Amino acid sequence: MSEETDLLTIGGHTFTSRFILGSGKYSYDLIDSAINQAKAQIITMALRRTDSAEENILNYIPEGITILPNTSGSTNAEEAIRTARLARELSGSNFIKLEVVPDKKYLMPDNNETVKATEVLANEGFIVMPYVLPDLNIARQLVDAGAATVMPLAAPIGTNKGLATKDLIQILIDEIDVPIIIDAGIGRPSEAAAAMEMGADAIMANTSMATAKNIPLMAEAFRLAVEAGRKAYLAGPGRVIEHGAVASSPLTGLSK
Amino acid sequence: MVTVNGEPQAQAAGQDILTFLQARQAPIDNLVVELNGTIIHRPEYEQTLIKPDDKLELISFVGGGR
Repeated sequence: MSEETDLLTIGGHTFTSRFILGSGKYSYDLIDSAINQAKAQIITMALRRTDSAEENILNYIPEGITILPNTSGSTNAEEAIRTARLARELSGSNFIKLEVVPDKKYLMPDNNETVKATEVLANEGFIVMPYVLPDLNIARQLVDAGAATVMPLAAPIGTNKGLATKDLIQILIDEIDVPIIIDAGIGRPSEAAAAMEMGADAIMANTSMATAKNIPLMAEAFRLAVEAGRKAYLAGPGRVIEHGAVASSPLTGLSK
Repeated sequence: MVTVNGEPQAQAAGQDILTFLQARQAPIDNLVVELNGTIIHRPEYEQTLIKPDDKLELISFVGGGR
C-alpha cells in the first residue's frame, strides 16, 4: 500500500503522517526541524494566560501544519469545555485534544468527565480526540458520544515508560472503530513501532523527544519507527512458535 | 476593579478592548479574549468597552504536549 492510499482519517480530515508531535518542554526554535524530521502534519499545543513577554509559538509553526489544541490544565468536564471553546476561537478549527486530568501526582485522566465533555463538544461540532485510560466500556461510550478518535495512554504522561497498558490498548484496537492513537508514555521508537505493529492508528509523542539529547534526530527515529510499525501491521506479522523451532532452510539435500 | 488574568488593572476601565490590547502589546494573532466568561470575537474588540468590575481573561497558545 502506498503512502498516498494509506491515510489516517480524523473527523473527515485525512493525513499521510501517523506521528503527532507535542510542542512542550523544548525550545520553539527546534519545532520546525522536529516537524520536518518527524514529517508530522499535526502538532498539539496548550492554552495559557497570555504573557506578552513570551514568544508567540504560532510564529514557529510551518505553513500547512494542523494545530491540535489541547485542554491540558482542565480538571473537570466544565473546565475542559471552556478551554475547548477558547481553543476553537484561537485556532479557527474544530480539532480538540480533550484532556481532563484532576490527578496531580500521576496525571491520570478522569474517564467519566471526559465522556461528559466529549458529548457536549461533539454536539457543538468539535472533532474530539479524548485522552483516556484504556478501558473498553469507556471507549465505547466515547464513540457513542461522538469522539473522532480514542487516545489511550501507554504509561503516565512524561514518564517514557513505554507500553505499560499494552494488553488493554490491544482490546481497543480490536474492538473500537475510530482511530486509536497512543497518547502518553511512549519513550522510545521501538515502543512506537511495537504499538503500530499491534494496529494502533497513530502515535503522539512529546516528552520522549523533548528529553532526548538531539531532538530532531529523535523525531526522525520516531518517524521511521512509526512507518516501520505501520508497514509491518499492514504486511501481517508472521506467526510465533511457542515451543521448538522450524527450520527456514530445506531439511533435504544435506551434504555430509 | 477590573481584573485582567487575575491581576487588578484599574486603568483598563473605560477603554475599548482593542485600545487596551494595543497598549499592552498583546500578541493579537495568538490571543482569545474572554470578558466575564464570554468570548469576545476579534471584530467586536473596538466596540466593546471595559467596565469597572469586568473580569478579562487573555489566553494564548503555548508549547505543550499532554
